[in-house]
Amino acid sequence: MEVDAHPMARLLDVLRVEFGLTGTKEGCGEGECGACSVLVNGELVNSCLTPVLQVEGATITTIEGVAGADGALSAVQQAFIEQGGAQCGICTPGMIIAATSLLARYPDPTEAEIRAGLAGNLCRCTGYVRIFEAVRKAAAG
Amino acid sequence: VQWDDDAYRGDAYGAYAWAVYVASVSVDTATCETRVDDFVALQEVGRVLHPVLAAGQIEGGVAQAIGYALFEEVIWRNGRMANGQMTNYIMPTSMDLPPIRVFFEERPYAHGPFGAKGIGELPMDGVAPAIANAIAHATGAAVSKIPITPESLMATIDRQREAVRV
Repeated sequence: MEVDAHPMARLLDVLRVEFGLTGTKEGCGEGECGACSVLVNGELVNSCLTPVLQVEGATITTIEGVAGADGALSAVQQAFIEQGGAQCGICTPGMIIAATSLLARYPDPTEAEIRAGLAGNLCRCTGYVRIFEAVRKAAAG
Repeated sequence: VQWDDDAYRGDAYGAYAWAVYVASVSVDTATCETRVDDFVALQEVGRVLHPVLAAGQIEGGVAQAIGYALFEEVIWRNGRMANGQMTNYIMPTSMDLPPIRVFFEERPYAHGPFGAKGIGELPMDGVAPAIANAIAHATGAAVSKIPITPESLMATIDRQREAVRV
């Protein structure tokens, strides 16, 4: 997909405003909370800190692209629902992207790997416990 | 005393929830940094309507309150919060929290929806005192304010040592 945007526009704004992909959330806007996480060529990044010029020609995965084309939820999404991994929801899209990235790197993660892999994504509601359980459940398949 | 919804009078708080909180902490004696190693919450919340979400509410409340106890310092300057950013107002990440083990004691409340009482607020109340008491037990420091940052704990311990010397 192509878009004309200011080179220094934040990837977050281009996704939300130009493409209408509002699943990616702005939390802090300063790279601390991870709510705006997306994958750029499979790498986990904060889209609030990414000028759009840096992703020319890149493949971007947002939360909208995590489910299958037929709408079937991914294992991570399904596990978040079953384990209560979402409460208010503002961290959830970024958390699911981060969990997806974590499981791509560590298909059977230890507790320490889960904690480290999600440390860039703040959650105020859940205390992370149910999110860890969702990741474990998604890993178990 | 009964609550009268028409007159809006009576006992508005007929159903207090109850809880017991137990914290296990380690304090680094060189840096005065505190880590919560384990946390147990026993909650009486009437009837538990949704076990997964109910536990999630308590776990989340405990996590917030661990931040309240140890990290979350609000700095006021000229009537405004000076550190209102995630960069300098520090809340717990997934790396900062212990296992949070939640247990429920169910005593259905006759006047609540399906026997439930309120559930979300209570874990903000008792957790910081539990942690402060655990730190006092570990270090002997008479901790009297939160957040118990390394700087504030070090100052408390130093003050107590000075007082002993005098």
